[in-house]
Amino acid sequence: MPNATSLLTILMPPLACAAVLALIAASGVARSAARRRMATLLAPGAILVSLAATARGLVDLVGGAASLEADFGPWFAAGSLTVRLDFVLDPVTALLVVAAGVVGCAVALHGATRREPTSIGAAAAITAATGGAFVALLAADAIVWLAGVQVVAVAGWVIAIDQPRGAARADGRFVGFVVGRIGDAAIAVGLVALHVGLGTLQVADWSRAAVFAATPSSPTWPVIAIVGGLTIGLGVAPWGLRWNGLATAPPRERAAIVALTIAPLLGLAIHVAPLLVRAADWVAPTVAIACTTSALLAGTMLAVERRAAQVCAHAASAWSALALVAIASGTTAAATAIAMTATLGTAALALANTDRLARAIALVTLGGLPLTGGFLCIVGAAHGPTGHAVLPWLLVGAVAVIAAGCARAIARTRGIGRGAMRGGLPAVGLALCAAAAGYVHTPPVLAGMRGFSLAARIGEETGTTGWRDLAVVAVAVGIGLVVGFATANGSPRLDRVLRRRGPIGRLHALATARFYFDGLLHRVIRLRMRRLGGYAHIVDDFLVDGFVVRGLGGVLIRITGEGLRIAQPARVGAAILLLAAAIAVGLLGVLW
Amino acid sequence: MIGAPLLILLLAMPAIAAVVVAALPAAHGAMRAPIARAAAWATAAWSALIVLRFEAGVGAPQFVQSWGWLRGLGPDGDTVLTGRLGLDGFNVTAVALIAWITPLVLRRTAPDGDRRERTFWAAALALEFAALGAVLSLDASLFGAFVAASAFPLLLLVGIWGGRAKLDAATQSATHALIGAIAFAAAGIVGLGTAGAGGLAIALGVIGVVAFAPLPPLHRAFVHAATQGPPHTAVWSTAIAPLVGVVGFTRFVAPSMAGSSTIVLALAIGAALYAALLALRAQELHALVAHAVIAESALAIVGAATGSEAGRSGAILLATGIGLGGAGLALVSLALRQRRGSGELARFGGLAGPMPIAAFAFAAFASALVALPGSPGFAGAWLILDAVGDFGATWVALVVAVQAVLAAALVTGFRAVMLGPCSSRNAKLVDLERRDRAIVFVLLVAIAALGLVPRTAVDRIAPSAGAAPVTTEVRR
Repeated sequence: MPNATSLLTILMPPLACAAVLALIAASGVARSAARRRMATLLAPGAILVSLAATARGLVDLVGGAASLEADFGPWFAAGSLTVRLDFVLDPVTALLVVAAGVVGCAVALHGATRREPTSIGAAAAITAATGGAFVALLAADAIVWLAGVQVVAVAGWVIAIDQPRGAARADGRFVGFVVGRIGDAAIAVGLVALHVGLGTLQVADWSRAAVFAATPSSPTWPVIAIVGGLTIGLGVAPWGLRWNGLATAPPRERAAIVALTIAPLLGLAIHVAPLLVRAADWVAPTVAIACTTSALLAGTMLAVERRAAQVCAHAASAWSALALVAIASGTTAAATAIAMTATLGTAALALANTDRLARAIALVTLGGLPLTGGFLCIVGAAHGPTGHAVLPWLLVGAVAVIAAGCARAIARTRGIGRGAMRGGLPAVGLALCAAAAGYVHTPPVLAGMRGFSLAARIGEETGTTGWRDLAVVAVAVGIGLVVGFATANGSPRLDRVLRRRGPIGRLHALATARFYFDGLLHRVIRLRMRRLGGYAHIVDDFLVDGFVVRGLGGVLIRITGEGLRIAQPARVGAAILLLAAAIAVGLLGVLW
Repeated sequence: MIGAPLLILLLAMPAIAAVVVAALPAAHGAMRAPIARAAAWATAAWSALIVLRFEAGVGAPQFVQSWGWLRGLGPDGDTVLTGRLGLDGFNVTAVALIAWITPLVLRRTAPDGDRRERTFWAAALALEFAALGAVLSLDASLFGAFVAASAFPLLLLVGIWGGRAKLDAATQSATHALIGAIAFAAAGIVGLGTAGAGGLAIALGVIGVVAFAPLPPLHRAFVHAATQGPPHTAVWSTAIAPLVGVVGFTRFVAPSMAGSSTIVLALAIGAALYAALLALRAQELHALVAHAVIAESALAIVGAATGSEAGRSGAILLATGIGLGGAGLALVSLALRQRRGSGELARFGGLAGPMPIAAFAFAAFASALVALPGSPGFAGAWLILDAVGDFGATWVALVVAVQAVLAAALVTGFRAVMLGPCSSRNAKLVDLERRDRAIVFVLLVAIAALGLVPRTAVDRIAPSAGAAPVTTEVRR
């Protein structure tokens, strides 16, 4: 099959299905539950077609092709900016497409097979989000990537229309959407700066040394802007803030759809890795240390959190942070593994929000992630471009804390709920896929398969693997699991102490009080913006309306009128007027 | 066919129809609405024909018609300003938009059964004539003259069918249109659009755009026309006026101000931020939409002020997105205001339940206004960002920050109107009726077509944006 046909077969079914479902929803032809179910079943069907095409593409890649590329010409072009509809399927993106497709399919299937099927509008949004994720993952141009990510974000937010009641949920979605756009804004600034510096936004060019040789500018600040935007979008900086509001809002497929944003964001992060190598020396270690700290903090929250939705949110934050550490360390394989596991695992947790069996399975399988991710990260950190002495030990600590958090979550959600299997099957499937994705990457890394490593992309050796590292991480994870299970099962008092006292308790209190990014967002951005908006209205009402529209006389009337209005309730109006009149008469007398 | 007066015919249709409708005796009053509607649809069809015949990839104006229109100028009285009409990349999307939005909006906003129907139809068609003439003008003075022609219809429409503060709003709207027109006409006379345009000409041109586009600090009249005006001027103000202003700035002012780009850039970004902050704290639905449109128009001016091909192309494309998104948002807001009896945001809430189609339309048009993917504004905004990037990353960050504040403002508005608890009174509101849905559908199709395939528009806009500016002809 020609490349263009292969890639179109991946991209078009979900997007076309979303358009068809939107038309069906708008026309109102599917009124009965049976028709609605039939219509909503189109969504998983379309995504399955895409997944089959991706599988076919993967077979071609295993058969020897480095990548499948298709260029559909410029999307738009003016001046020096040309945005091409150019798509690439390589091993890394194919795996991430599979992860996003499996999540989209499972979420759509979950909605369609419920006793009361999801609305057609929601099915259209789920399909559009999956299509947007595919566009972002396959895009060879960074602007097309951003378009895909924004389609995912908007589709996730539009689902809120289906569920208008519940101000708290609407608030959660609103905050999540705005935070996501702040991340997009930072990425946009970085991309423009990169285009001005390098003259290209084709991600493939970012790994070509000739492009950098042709320009003296360093990509340091654009990379910082892009990585900063990614940390915000992924919820690494804001502690899973993006997921919190959404994850708590049933029905579950609407929460699970948020997992679709993880794969495309980490997909771009993987493309940014070659730029990290070429940025200033301090950038990669700083990103790695900052993200490890963030993972440690998210793991702490995971360890003390009791609500399943919050566990889901903080777990996603911790995994995304680990993926960014892997990218900064130059290990694409680790980043891909963690991105796949995080995408699938977050969706599994969200879908299994109330099914105890499925949730337990999801948590058990995802509990193994620290071992895999931590091992892969530590390998990269010890030998890759970051090469920092402290980082591996910081990573070991983070991994142990995340393991403890997972263990406590597993311990608290054990047991089989009534009717758990009915709605839990897609979640179980996702959880098994997550576990497979987490572990299947270890052998290629141990074997040093270049096709899956960043080294192959940038033409530089990054690191080697060692069984000693695996042993260190295994011991740390073991300690974490034991402590987690022990505190959750054996000692309620210890559990209470852990939650309320000590450094972890204080950290928990600090985080739950939202003094971190959430507080920052609220106090520095939202409140300031609202206050600025208030000032702008005052200026508009008094100066612009008065002076510009009504002239100077209008301003004087406003000011004197306002003054008198203020003076009146104080019961000193007459006195002030008399005093003013006396002063005026006195001044006139003096002037006379 | 090039020599045929295609553009004159385009202008003549609404103008003649306006005169006929106004002159029709009372005995034939029933004919007014059909004549006006037929004229509006005929203009739309004719515009489609012209746009289809427009040759992509050509920077110079096409279908040009010119005549000496201001005589006796200069110290010796022998200078003649040439009036020229033409279609190029700057106005090709605007012509289509104005010609098609007018009949669509007239379906929705006509005061059927009103005894002053004659005035309404004549004024609405005169507004269309003025807007089409302004965007087709290749000379600053002619542009000013057409803008002036919009003042009287605005005065009538807002003054007769407006809300409580209609007299204030009508006076302000007409005054601002006249200020803009006089400033532009004067700018044209002192050389705006010619090779050696001086500081005075540029300043007058900027004042003209600020008054008519409109931009802060002369935006209040625009907001009044949107909030206090009748449905027709509410849609006209949010969809067409900014488009005309952006076309005027991009064609006449931007090419003359190479040395003062940074100052205009700073002023335009400041204006955009100011308007976005006003939108963030807006208490009224139409005020929210109006301020959002002002902020986006200012961003389009930013793109034009960069003077580059990408920036000017982006400005026109973004303005087209503003026109489509603004028209849709104004129509949805209108439907909501009419059903609820008030436009105050505090009175709404939870409407996504009883009015799902209105909620979807609001979200889609708001997305188009803030240039999200799938709307023409997305490509326009990226072209502008790329052009602003040449001035430094700080400017890019400022533009992006304005977009983020604006997105937050519209999302806040959406949340206040559509989400949250729904009162018993709001729960009884009915969704958009069939004619509203038809208009929403047409606008969404246009947004999707231009948003998914922006190349169709950019390929027509960019050659003109990259070509040498068309200068005003002065003969002696």
